Amino acid sequence: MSAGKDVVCRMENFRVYYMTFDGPVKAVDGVSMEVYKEETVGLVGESGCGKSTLGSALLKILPRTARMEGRVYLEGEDLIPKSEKEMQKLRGAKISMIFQDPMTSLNPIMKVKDHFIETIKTHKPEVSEDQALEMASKALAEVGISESRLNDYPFQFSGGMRQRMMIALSIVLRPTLVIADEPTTSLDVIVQAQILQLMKEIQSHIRSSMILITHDLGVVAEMAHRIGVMYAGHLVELAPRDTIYYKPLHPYTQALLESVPNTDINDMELSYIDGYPPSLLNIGEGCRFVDRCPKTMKVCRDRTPPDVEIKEDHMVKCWLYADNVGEVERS
Amino acid sequence: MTLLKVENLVKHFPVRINFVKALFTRERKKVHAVNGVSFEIEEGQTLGLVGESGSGKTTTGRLILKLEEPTAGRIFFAGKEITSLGAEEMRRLRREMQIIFQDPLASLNPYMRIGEAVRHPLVIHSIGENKRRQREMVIEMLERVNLRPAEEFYNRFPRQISGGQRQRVVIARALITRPKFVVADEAVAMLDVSVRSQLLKLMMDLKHEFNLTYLFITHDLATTKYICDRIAVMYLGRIVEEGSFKDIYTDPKHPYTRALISAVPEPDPKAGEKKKKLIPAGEVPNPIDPPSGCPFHPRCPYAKEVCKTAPPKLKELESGRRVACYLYS
Repeated sequence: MSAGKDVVCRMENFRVYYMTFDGPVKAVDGVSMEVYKEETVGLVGESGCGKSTLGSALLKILPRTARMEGRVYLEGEDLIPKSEKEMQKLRGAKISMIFQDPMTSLNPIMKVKDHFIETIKTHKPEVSEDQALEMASKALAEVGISESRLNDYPFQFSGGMRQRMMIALSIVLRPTLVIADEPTTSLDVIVQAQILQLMKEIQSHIRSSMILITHDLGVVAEMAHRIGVMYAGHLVELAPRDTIYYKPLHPYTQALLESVPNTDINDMELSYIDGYPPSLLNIGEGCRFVDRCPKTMKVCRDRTPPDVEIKEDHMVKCWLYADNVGEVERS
Repeated sequence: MTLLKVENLVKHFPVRINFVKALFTRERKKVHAVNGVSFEIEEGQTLGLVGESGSGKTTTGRLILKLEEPTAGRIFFAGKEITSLGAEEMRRLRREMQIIFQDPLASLNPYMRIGEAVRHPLVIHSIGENKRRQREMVIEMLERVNLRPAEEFYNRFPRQISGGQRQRVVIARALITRPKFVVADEAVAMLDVSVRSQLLKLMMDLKHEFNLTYLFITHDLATTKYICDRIAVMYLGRIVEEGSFKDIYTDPKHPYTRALISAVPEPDPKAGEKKKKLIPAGEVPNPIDPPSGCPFHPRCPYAKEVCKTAPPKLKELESGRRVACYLYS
């Protein structure tokens, strides 16, 4: 696949199950994808589709009830067998995260500068405090916060500023992969536009790759090079941005795009997808969109669709596009 | 006919300071949540109240239902002034004025079965001869909002159903008294796109069926298109612009409205690339200490000297089109 592009992160049949007394909740089920160098992959889907679980699983910061299987390579290293200690070395340095709610992910009784010093010293113990402070003020300057605020506490910042600080903190060690989990969801539109602009600038400046997790199809349209659509734990479609928006193949992607309110005043049709996503507890074989899909076939209920490679860089997980389905099963 | 009219509505919340400070200072700070808001809603129409957090849109909705006492201003409902009505009279009036809140889980009692929650307003307002009749009415309403089989949903608890279904319950509860006027405060904001559109469709259908008048409060301009006849944009407690959806969207006048519209990410990459972004620097100022003059002037690219002096009046540009900006006076 995609020769000539450097792969930063590769997932192979990646599964994350939450173990409960009633059985496993299959939050992420069989996701295979790659993230290339310096690109942004948008992961979109509705609540409960597994996109946030996937993001947190890459850093292995899930609750203890979560079990991970499959392969996840970050620059060639498999993360799944890594111990907590080994992961701590990677987090912040090679792979970092921007969370949705910066207030709950920053420590309210730690000064801004101490957040930075902690992050830097953990990974680079040889760096002196003064050097760390210098790095911190540089990172803050990159996100438009003056270094005079280093002695402030996070609660003295506004929501937008906290998110800026969060971004500065996540990039201070120049990680190769940044995972942004709904980074602008709790912000107002104008602040959101400011932050998205900033994230774009920073990313091209530090040349990192990014997985942008969001439910907002407008945000990914602006930010992502490629887009993966998730539904009920499955990655149902993965393609370059324009292909997803203008030539989507999976019935869910098509329906999702139709139901997004646009701002075109000539288009007053409001379509929606009937029904609700299935429960992922003990969910078995079969396509998970089957009950809401207008094109359901017999095979969709019985067997999980394969990841069908339509052409280079366009994957769709749907029986409609699989060649090896017999006529009997289609009916 | 005008169903609802508010005139110069003002709400200031006192800022709590600690006891020691209170002894030594005379200064009493206030949050200027709503600062002189006036509008009218015709019967059967929907007014969208759009703004960012802290713009005062939710407080405005709460003031209208008198869930908050206004600091100043007047509210008229169906031609009658309700500003000074007492609690008992207001309670009776709430049969005709209802509200749908953003978070359905927070607005439903977790220990109350869904059917009972929807029946509760009937009990409060003594509608329906007996419990059996009330139960029938509830079942009918649950069916109407597509919670089927209604008999089964009647006995479920809020935590046993999905977010979209919970919001249907809240809508059913608001409409069971057959109100004339409903405030929908971010009623679909917490839902996912596919479910959000289902709910919007339901609210539109119910509006026609029950001849409702909505005040649709939202931060999301895109959803107003389907349901609102008119839109009022709020910023720091004031309405800065008002007009039809089409006017606001295709020809925004106020610099803030322009910024707001340009900031909405387009779910269409090509349209998004064409769109010009006019993003003002900085953030919304603190409503404890709002800027003098026009509240938007510190961030406005067109700010002149006059903008710092006094807040501009909301002036009628043409019929049904009002703007509060010195650029247009």
